[in-house]
Amino acid sequence: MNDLDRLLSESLKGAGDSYLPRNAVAAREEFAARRKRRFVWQLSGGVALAGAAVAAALFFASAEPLVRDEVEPGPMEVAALDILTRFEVGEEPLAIGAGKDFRLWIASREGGSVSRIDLNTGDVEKIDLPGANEIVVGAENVWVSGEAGNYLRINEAMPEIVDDGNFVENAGGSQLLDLAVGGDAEGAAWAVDLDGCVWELTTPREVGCSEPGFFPTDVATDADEAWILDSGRGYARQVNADEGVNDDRPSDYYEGLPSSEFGDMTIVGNSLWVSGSGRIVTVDLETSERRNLEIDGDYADLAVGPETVWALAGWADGDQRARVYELSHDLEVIGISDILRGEPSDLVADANGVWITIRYRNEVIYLSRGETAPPVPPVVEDEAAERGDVVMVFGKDGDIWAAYADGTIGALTQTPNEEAFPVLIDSLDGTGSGAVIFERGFEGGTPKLVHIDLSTLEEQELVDGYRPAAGSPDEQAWLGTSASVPTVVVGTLFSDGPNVLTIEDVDGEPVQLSQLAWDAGSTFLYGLTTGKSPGSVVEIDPEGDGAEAIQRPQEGARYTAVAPADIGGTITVIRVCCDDAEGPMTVELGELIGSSGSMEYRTIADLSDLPWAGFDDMTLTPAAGLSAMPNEDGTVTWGTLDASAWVVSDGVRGFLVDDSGEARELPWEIHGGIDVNEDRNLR
Amino acid sequence: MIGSEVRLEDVSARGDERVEMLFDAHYVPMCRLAYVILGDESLAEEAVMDAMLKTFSGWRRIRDLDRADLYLRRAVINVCRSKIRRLVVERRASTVLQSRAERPEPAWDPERHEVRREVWDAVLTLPERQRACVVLRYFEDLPESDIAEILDCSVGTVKSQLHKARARLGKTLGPALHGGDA
Repeated sequence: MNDLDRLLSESLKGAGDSYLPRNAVAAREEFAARRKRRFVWQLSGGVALAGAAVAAALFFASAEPLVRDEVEPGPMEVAALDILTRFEVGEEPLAIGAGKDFRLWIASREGGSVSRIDLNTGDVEKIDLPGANEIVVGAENVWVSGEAGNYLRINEAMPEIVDDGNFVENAGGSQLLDLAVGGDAEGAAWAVDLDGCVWELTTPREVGCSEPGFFPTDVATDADEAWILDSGRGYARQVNADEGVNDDRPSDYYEGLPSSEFGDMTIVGNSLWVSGSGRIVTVDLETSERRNLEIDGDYADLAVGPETVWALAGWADGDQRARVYELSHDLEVIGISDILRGEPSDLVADANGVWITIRYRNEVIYLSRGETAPPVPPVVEDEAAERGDVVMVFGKDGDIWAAYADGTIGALTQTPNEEAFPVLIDSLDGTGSGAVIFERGFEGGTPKLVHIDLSTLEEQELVDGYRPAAGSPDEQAWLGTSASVPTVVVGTLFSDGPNVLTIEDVDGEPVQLSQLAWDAGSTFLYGLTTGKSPGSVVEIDPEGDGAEAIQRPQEGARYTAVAPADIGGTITVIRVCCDDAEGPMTVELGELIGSSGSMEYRTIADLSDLPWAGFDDMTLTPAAGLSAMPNEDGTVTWGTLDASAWVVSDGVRGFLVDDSGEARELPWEIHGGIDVNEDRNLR
Repeated sequence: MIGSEVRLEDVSARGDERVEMLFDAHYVPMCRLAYVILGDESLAEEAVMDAMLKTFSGWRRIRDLDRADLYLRRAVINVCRSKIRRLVVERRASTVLQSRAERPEPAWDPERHEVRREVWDAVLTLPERQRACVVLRYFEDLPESDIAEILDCSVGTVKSQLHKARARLGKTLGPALHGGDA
């Protein structure tokens, strides 16, 4: 465990242990009482709804005009809003705006960027903005707020940054909570910051700050005027500034509007729309007449389309769900969606529907009553599919990588953990789609076996404490990494009946094992020893209960890697011999032939002249007849030989060698294991 | 019919008892979890009460009662995350609820106090999702797969959130990491 992990663990546990809830008994009583009330409330809510239905029926029968301050919109046929399309976008899309010609703008606070996606071409332009969290699109410019009062003004068509937005921060303002654009002819942009100050960003200038009894949290604007809302108090005021003021209004403030921590406000024609606390209220700015609509949820974000208004109504209970309403300008519900999950976070309307960002699903969806789906970004052909088959998988820089038939390589994992010892398998679920099992190490923790599907790259953690060590079409063998004595599991770890072998000693000598290899036919399993007696080969009966013999190299020599061979009772090895002051004098690819205790060593190829970086982390992998021709661009052209080949790595470099001793260095480093896809026809 | 009513009452009573048992078993640990995430005792207790009500008001819908702690932990995390988001907005009221000054001093080893406090403070500045991942990983000692289940996201997302959180904390806590011996 590193310093940071230890500090985090100690600090958080210390914080938690230091605190005891004040009165658990009283809390339980309160819980019981509230639970009972909640149950009763749920029942009475159902009754109230039934009553409302009766009242509505009586009202329509009497046909009497209803005169009151707040007009309840009448019932009308409500259409279902369907998801017509969806596509993935960057990390946690938080806010969305719509430009011209099907260009969408997405702000991602997590990603620290704003992106423009051209739905016609699929092109994505990304601009960095730490803390990007609000976005509005005007006639020409896109405005995006970042952290600490920063914002960007971006030309929508180009897209180019017009203003890198330091004004608010330099003027002492704080993070911009809300933006609105469209005021005055050129589309002045307004903003409200976390401290309740109102800014006009086009000039730019500070318009004013909060005062007793009014703390602006939202801003809305159209061509003639701008309004600010204290959403906590349900109090809206017209901005009293030089530009954008319409003095013809009968009132420049309204109270008693929905109050909510997450309220929203917009201007629709001649009406001010305010949402919050499960309702939307519209105020006719010429007559002051109000309309009220009860909706689901605790809050609603509003978006204005050409003919209708859209509300994204969500619940503030942390369940990350919301529902969409399409409303007429008279506040009638025209369409309603099913519950959307994954934290729908923002919406923007176009002529036919509404785009919504789904924050925790990293996607954008399009909802509409109609059937006209907008263009979706062309699907970029799966890179992996273009690359062809996986030729080999290997560890590199702490991640697992794949080399593809087109000669390129790509990372299968990208994590801060140390990943190594990949083994290719058909699949765990029987689909045969191709998968890799590898070891994911944790500092100070038990390594985990992880399975990754090659077609989807979906990961699945399997078990702790075992390393993939030897694979064959029929049998897998796994090396235990958590016990103090070597443990070998033969067979699948994921069903009943694998044979677990504990190798405490061989011929009375304690051993540790670092690698395993089957002989042809999976009759015997061979292990490479490390620790006090390094460099020997242990023969293991997979159906027995331990290791039976040990194959020592001649005095001064040692084996540094083992691999399966295609002959029964035989394995291939790397043998280094006879260190002098400059290191070993010979490095050979060889094979051990024979059976218990009497294996004979035979040299296949002399590899002494290769530029070895070391011998402690060597691996040896059969590669059928694979050949490689490195290209100048760092790729390789794969081919096949009418000969046996192996990949030999010293933990840094990888060499493809054949039985004649011909060797090609692979143009990428290899750290921590290789497995070659031997069954593929790579020709 | 009478027999049937009696059985229904029994079932209901057993359900209430079970809920109370679940409440007793989980209230304190869940409060601690919420406290470590939120840094405020009142908010933590409020969050746990909300989460308990949310989970156990519909407890009959929980098919697998052995997983009640998962549902509860998920509810607590969700409510806490919601509260964190609200806190950002409530900062406007100029009462920063999470201010260091207002938090009671945790009763831990004074020699390590400052560094630990600094670390916890740094965790409390993380975005709510990263904070949830860090607390579940380092306070609850949960594996990434469990965290993913609680947060209803992929293991890859958890890894990415933890990676970002560690990078951010590493940057923030540079001096504490190198100088502190906590």
